[in-house]
Amino acid sequence: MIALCDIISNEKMTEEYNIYSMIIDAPLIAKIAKPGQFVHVKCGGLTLRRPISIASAKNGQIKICYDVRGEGTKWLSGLKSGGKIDINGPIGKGFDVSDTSKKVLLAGGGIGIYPLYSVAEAYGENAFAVLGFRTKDIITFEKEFKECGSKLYIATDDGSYGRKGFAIDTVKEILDNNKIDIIMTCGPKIMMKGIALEAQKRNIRCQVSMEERMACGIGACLACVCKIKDANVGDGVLDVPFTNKRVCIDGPVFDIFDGSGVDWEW
Amino acid sequence: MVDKLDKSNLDLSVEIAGVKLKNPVVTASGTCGFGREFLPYYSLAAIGAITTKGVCLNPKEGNKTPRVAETPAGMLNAIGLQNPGVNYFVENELPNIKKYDTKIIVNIFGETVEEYCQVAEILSETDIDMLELNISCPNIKCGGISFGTEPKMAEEITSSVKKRSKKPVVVKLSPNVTDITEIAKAVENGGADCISMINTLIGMRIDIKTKRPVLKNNTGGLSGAAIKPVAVRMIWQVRNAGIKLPIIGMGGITNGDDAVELMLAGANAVAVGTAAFNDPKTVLKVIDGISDYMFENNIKSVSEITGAVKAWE
Repeated sequence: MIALCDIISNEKMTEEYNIYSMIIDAPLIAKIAKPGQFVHVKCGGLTLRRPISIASAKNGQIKICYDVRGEGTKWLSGLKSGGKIDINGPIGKGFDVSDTSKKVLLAGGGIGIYPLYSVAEAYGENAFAVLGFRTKDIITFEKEFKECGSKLYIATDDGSYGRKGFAIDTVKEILDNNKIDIIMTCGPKIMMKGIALEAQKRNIRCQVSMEERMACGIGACLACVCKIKDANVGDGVLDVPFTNKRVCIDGPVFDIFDGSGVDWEW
Repeated sequence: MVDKLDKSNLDLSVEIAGVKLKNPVVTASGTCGFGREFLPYYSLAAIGAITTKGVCLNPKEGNKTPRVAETPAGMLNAIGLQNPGVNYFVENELPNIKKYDTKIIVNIFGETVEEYCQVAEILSETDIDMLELNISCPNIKCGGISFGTEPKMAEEITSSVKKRSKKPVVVKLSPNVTDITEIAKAVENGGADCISMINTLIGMRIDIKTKRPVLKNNTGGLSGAAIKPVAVRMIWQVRNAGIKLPIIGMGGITNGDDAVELMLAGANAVAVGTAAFNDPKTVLKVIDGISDYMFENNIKSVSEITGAVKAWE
């Protein structure tokens, strides 16, 4: 649904980097939003809306977090509390939170950590969360993930905070020492590929949140397609060809079962 | 004092190639799929016609991503004509569109004249209202661009399809030509029932950090508000060249005033495309906006707007 909503707050989360967190009063969207879904945000007079994942949805409000990378997010960063924002959502298929008694491993990279936050809220102490960042100054949501009860591991590429190295190293370590039922990942493609292939090796179900340049956000224009193998829960690895799937409404989260479910080179 | 019209008595209907549209606003090919995705936003019964995503004989997977890039007041796309094939369309999508009281224009393309004709024959046996020949998609190598940029080829493909189609044929023109009136005349000679114009303008964006084109296809079709003046100019040129065929005008329409502008230049109906990506309900806004213009200017029938531009000497 498209709604013109009140902005409760819109604040920069880090000193050095332009990562913002916006809280929006959106009762209807908050009520039905599922972890991993996104809202499509109108940005002034720009031709296209911007897809931004919902980090959290509760008490009639949603929180979206974004990195200022281009014209759209720059425009968003200028919005003030008390102002209005035009959003369409919630859109897409999210992560599986139907059985939160399972042990989940959440692997997020950079701004990919935000959609995983609402999954962490759902799974509580049953979640292991591995968050990868480039460097210390860009870290956000450490406190939030901890407060959900997640067993939290932070990795930085340069070793300036937490564990030195990529998220995948910590993911392997956790998988070596714990029985994990499902892995959920969101972040750079190269990171998700590594994690999905690790899931394949260990025969663990894996859900990935894909990203592609988007135009309509409602499934009509076929801009944001990726190559995915059709699978249903319980099927396991399928010997079927890749088909075009729309990230906006067939995803963004795809239940791929393992790394072979995505054509990573597409 | 002139009696003001009653808003409910405005005649928005137009007749194009024998097909009566309840209003002159249709969707533009490739921007609304087969209509399904817009159903949460408006009923297809509200619009004059739906123009579908282009279909060809066999399924086509389209280009690699990124397929879109934003530009000032517009966007580039290079989807690459991804579609499930004409037979899938007839079996799985057409029945859904038929639930709604609207006219159906099916956009078709092929790699050869024969493929266009075969697709036209298949659709001739169905309950659609018109065919739109895409002879101008800039994004695939065989997507008909050579048909759309050479008058002889444009005429040949039009007449070939006309011979084998039982449905009225709309031919969609490419703006990527030196003189669009030549192509318009050629398709008129070929027996076209209607012209739609304009398709996208070929453009390109380069990421200066990576030195790579933003689109995987390197180039793409420019659409959106930025191209509206080009559409207005080209429609006006085609009308000035004495072409009498009905024209479905498209290119950068975001509201009723834009639609009126294209109609004043000579369009009989208008198509809304890119603007629907930002606001899926744009078509409704355009219909309302045209009604407002008619009401304010005491215009009883929307057709009175067509070609009513008073050009300077």
